Amino acid sequence: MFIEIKHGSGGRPTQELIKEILEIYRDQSVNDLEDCALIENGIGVTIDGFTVSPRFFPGGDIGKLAICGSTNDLAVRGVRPNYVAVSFLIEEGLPKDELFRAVDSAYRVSKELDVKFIAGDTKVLPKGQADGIYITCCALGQSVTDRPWGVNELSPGDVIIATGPVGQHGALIAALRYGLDVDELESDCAPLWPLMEPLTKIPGVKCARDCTRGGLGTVLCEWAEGASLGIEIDEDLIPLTRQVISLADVLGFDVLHLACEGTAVIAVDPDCLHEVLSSLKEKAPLCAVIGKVTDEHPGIVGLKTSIGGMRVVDMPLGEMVPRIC
Amino acid sequence: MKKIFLVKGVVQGVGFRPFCSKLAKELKLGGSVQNNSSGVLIELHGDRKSIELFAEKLLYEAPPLAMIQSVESIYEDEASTDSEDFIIRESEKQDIQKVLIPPDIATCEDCLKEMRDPNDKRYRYPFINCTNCGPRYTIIKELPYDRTKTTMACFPMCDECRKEYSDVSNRRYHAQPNACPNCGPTLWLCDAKGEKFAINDDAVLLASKYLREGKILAIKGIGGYHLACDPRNDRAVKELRIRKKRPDKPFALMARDLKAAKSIVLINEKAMKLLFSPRRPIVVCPKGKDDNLSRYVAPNIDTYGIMLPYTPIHHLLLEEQDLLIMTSANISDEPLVAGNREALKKLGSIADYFLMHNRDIYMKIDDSVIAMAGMTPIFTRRARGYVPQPYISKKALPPIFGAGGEMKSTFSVTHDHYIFTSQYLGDLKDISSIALYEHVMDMFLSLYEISPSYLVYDKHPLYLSTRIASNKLSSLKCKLSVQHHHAHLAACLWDNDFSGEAIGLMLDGTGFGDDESIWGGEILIGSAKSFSRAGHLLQAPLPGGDKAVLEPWRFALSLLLQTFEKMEALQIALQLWPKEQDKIKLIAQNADKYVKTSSTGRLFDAAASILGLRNKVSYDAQAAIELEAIAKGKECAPFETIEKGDVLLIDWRPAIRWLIEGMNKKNKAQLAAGFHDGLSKVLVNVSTKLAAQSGIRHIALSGGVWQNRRLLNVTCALLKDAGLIPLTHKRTSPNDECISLGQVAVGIAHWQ
Ligand SMILES: [Fe+3]
Ligand SMILES: [Mg+2]
Ligand SMILES: [Zn+2]
Ligand SMILES: [Zn+2]
Repeated sequence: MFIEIKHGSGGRPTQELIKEILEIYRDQSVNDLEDCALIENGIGVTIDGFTVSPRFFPGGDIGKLAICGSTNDLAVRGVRPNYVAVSFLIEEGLPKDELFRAVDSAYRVSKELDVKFIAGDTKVLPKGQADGIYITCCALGQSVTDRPWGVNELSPGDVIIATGPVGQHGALIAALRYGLDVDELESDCAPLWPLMEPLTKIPGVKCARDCTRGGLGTVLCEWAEGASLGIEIDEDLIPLTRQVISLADVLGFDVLHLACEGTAVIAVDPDCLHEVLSSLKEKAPLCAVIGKVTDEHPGIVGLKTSIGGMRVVDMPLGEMVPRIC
Repeated sequence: MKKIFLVKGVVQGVGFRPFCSKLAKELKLGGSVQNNSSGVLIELHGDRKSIELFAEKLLYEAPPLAMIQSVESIYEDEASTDSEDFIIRESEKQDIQKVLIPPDIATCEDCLKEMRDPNDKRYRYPFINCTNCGPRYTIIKELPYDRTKTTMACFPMCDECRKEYSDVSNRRYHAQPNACPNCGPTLWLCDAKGEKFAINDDAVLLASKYLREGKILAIKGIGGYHLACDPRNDRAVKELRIRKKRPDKPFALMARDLKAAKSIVLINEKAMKLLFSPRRPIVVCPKGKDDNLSRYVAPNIDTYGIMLPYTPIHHLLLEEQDLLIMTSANISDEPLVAGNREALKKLGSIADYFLMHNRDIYMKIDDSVIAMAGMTPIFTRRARGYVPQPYISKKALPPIFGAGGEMKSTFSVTHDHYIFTSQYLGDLKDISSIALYEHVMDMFLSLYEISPSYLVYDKHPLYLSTRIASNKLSSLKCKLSVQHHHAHLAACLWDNDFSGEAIGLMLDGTGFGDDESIWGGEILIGSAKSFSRAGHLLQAPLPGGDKAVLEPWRFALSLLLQTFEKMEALQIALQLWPKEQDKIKLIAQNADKYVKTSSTGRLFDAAASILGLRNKVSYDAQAAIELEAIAKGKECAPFETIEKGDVLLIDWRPAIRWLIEGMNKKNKAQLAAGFHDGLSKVLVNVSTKLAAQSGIRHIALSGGVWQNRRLLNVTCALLKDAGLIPLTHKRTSPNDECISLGQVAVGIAHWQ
């Protein structure tokens, strides 16, 4: 058995790999599969490795991505990001200027978030043993909600909100890799804390997730399976940009599987929906209600299509493997 | 002497006991007959000769619905009581459920005669039935099969009906759905708000009037609702297409009688037999010359699916018109609608009026569909009238559950000597099909008290069938994943009672391959035990995954890029699909990044797109079906073979080139025909070669592509000419409905 590229897709193969690793740690781990762990005194911790090709792209770069990605994992659990520790794995021959452009943009997001850099490490690998630069970032913060947001809080009737157009980052990276014209497409790479902070004061907010690897579809599948509840979303309500739609069309990607890097999905009690939306609208004008949690079809996510049926949403298989016979 | 027989098979609820009683009286035998959970127990007193004669007649004169699996003599005693009394005893329930539930059967001639007799108490009664006909599978909730355990439980019989029911000599003896106008279900006509306009016969007459006026009606039948309208009314048919959001997929028709059917289709002897069989499937026959039906009934194809009336309601409605569109009532890919409230809710925006009744449908089931390839019938959907009839094995089977495929899903489960295959359960990607799968699965397992220890499932890591089945089966000992086309092969061999090795031509749309690429044009050698991949269609990139299935031009472009120099391919593509200009360039630029497939379904779709027939499909296999429909002539496209190590590759590139070059010289019909027959020819060449190498002479044909009648007929004929023996599906469909059966067959080979 070998580790394959599909194990990094964020979909089922990834889940299974993680399960296998956790199995070994079963008596030595805080076993919840949330984006970040909450430990003593409401301290939230997460760690994330970043590799992206190309390293610089419209809307961001690997440095910004590392800080956003790791702090977003805190933000979506209602944890205020305070500190980051960063490790750089650098390939021999990387232009120094590139490294510092990445460090510089990482610094700028940290500043914006008021996050302190508390520890760092650099390693240089011989040429060919890495692809330019890998950044691993550990973020720490303080939980500020009364109850931690999480999958366990979900209940039937909860409303599901996307904070902005989905799939922007994934579509952009795919387009760049495939050598397609990216036209006005930009990554959504951005810190989520400014968006989440006001929500921490609203008691009806249940659960949030940044839709990174595997996209919105994967997050919702994890929710449905984790909470043993059904989720229904409406195809026509999902915010999407024209560019993402046409790119997905050409490449045959499912927009629900394309990664976001600054767009979250949030489940809230319908009673506080208005309050949540008006709070979000300031900074995320394109946020939208996309569906709801239900007690029907537990464990399964359904997508209401424009022709009236309800299709099952699943996680990606890694490569785009069609299922139709 | 005294002798006791145990008769097994479909012997309950089919008029078997009255038949025994009649036969015993005829032969002057005494004794009794009783239903139990294993079957029917017959005790006979009398002389040996008469008893032997009884046993013989039992087999040959059994009622039409009975399916006798075995007659076992379980007790014999020379001493005998002289009594010539023959009685029918009460049913007894045993622990193990072995009695088989009969399928639902079309109204019989005797009942029809009564229904048309003004002096009969059931004159024009829409729920007339007897032991030989009426609903069965769809109304049973529990075993043993008794009225209280059906959805008829809420209709207590009137005295007269009870008398018939209790009278051994009556045709309605123990007919569980027995009913009359005084005690039985009621029919009514209402609008989308549920407001009633008329009941019983008035409802039928008013419904007919509305149909003649061009209205769309939802009509409750045996296994669910149909949507009906006048097939000669262009406006009505078009409106139905718009409301149902179903632009092209052909609608089925119901004809009053043979004359009406013959006015629109060509019916050969085999087709006639099927049309008139009490199972009443939809039979797909070639369109006749001038049928004056709306061109929207079955656009761009050369066949109509037609059936004869199978419930009293149908017969009454069709007295007023000779033909009706009768299409399953559902929304997009959902399972059909069967409940009254569900009908108002879901069909409210489709039907103008509803003809409903209060006999509940416990088990939804679609009409079965059989297509005629000349004299060869091909199941394209096995459901009403056939399910839940099991496949019978000579040996007792290990308890196996086959989870099936995904898009045309069924499951199969073993029990004792039987394999039960569920009805067609639809596309599991549609969320309500999942609920149906679960319901039918629960029903089978609880009815027969089955708890499978073994699960067999498809290799595709995301099939929902696998997920549902493994969630539901808690006490599993073992699991086994089976490659999709191996399951096809095993299903076809099982269907033919063939236990040896065969060469398999497994042609379909998509199956997850052992190498994780997408298979679909596979030449396998093996049996249910194991297989090897001896060859396959040359692979090509599938641009855009599932999207490529909906837009055949994408794969067509991919084939052009494999066949011609890039610039030439682009030039041809831009001429063929000028509207897709931007996408064509992007796809061409990235062709090597897409997942590769050897799919035959896609190959046919692509050929259809190259010939300009269709660039986007609105139903499964539409492009391929339309290609088949226009094919006419004696051309033969040049497919070639390439030997790559010990694998034979079927190279379609010369055939694609032939299509492109032929576009100016030949007509589309010739090109379409040539593409079909060329593929047949190369498949037979490959088979011949492999047969010579391996000594195997049986060639199994499975996979959805074999629903293509031309390909099937030509290939079989050529195989026979080459001295080979084609094995085709007979009791199952070659499409993915057979996957669950194949999985079980592989499981049996593995665990028995
Ligand atoms: Fe198949
Ligand atoms: Mg993360
Ligand atoms: Zn009858
Ligand atoms: Zn009665």
